[in-house]
Amino acid sequence: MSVPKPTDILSQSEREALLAQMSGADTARAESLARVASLGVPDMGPDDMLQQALTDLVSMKRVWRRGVSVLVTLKVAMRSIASNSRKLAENARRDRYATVTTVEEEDRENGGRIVQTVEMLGPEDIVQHRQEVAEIEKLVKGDPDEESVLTAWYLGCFGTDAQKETGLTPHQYDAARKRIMRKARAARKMK
Amino acid sequence: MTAPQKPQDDLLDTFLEELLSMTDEEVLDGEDPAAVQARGLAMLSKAKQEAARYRLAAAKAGLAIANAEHHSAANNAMSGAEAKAFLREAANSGEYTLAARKLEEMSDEAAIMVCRKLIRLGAKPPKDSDDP
Repeated sequence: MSVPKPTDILSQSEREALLAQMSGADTARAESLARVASLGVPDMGPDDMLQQALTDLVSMKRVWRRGVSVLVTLKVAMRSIASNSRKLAENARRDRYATVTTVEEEDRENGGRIVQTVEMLGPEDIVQHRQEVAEIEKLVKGDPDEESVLTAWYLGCFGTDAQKETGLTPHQYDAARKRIMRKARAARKMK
Repeated sequence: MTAPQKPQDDLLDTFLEELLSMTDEEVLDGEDPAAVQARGLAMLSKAKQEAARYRLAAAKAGLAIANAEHHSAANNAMSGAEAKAFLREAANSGEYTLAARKLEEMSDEAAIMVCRKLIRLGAKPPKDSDDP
C-alpha cells in the first residue's frame, strides 16, 4: 500500500464542506452503515459510531483520500473504529486472566519483566468472539426470505445480483430488505 | 500487509453497495429527508467542536513541550557565573532570600543547582532575561 502524498489527502475545510453537503438520503445511508458497523461492538451504539467516525475525519485523525466518496470514507473509518474497539475489549478480557510466569527467572534478573498471558477461552468465549455475526443473524432469524438476503450479502452479492442469488422475486427481495433495515433500526433504539 | 477481513467487514462492503443500489425514497423509508439531514448536520457540528478541542489540547501540549525544551536548553547551557548573576538578581528582587556572603562562598556547581531549583519553582531562567 502506497503512502498518500499530502496533496492526495483532503484538507479539514474540504472534509467539512463534503460532509455538510450530504443529502438526507446519504445521511440515512451513513446511519444504516453505522447500525451494521456497531453490531457486536462493546459500549458503542450506532450514533456513537457515526459520531466518532465524523470526529475522526474532521479532526484529521483519519486519512481521507481525494476522490473517495463520503460514504466509502465513512465506511472505512467505521470499520477501523469497530475493529479497534473490539481489540481493546478483547485485550482487556485477556489481561484479566493474565498470570505471571515463574519459568524465565533469569530474564527477569536481567531487567526484563516477564508476563505471560494465559488465555482461558472456552466454547462460550469462542461464540462470543463471533458476537458481531451472531447479532446480525439474530435480527433475521425465523424469516427465510431475510435469511436468504443476509446470506447473499455475506457472499458479497447486492442489488439485482443478490435478488437473483436468493431466488426471490424483486418484490419479495425489496420487502425482505426493508424488514431487515427496520429491524436494524429497532435494534439501534434498544442498544 | 492488510489484515484479513472478518465476515462482518465483507458484509459492510456489500451493505454499502446495497444501500447505494437503493433509491433515496427506499433508504429514507418514510423519514423526512430534511429532518435526517438536520440530524447529520448536528452530528457534524458536534464533530467540529470535538476537533477544535483536540486541536487546542494538541497546541497546549506543543507549547508545554516547547517551553520545557527552551528551559532545558537554557538550563544546560548555564555557567557558574550566569547562575550567580541570576541568583543575585533574584535576591535583589525581594522574591527570594539569599545572603550575599553565602552567594560569594557558593561553588559554581552549587549555584547552578540552586538556580535550577528556582527555575523548577517557576523563576525565569537567566537566558530568558535577554529575550525580547
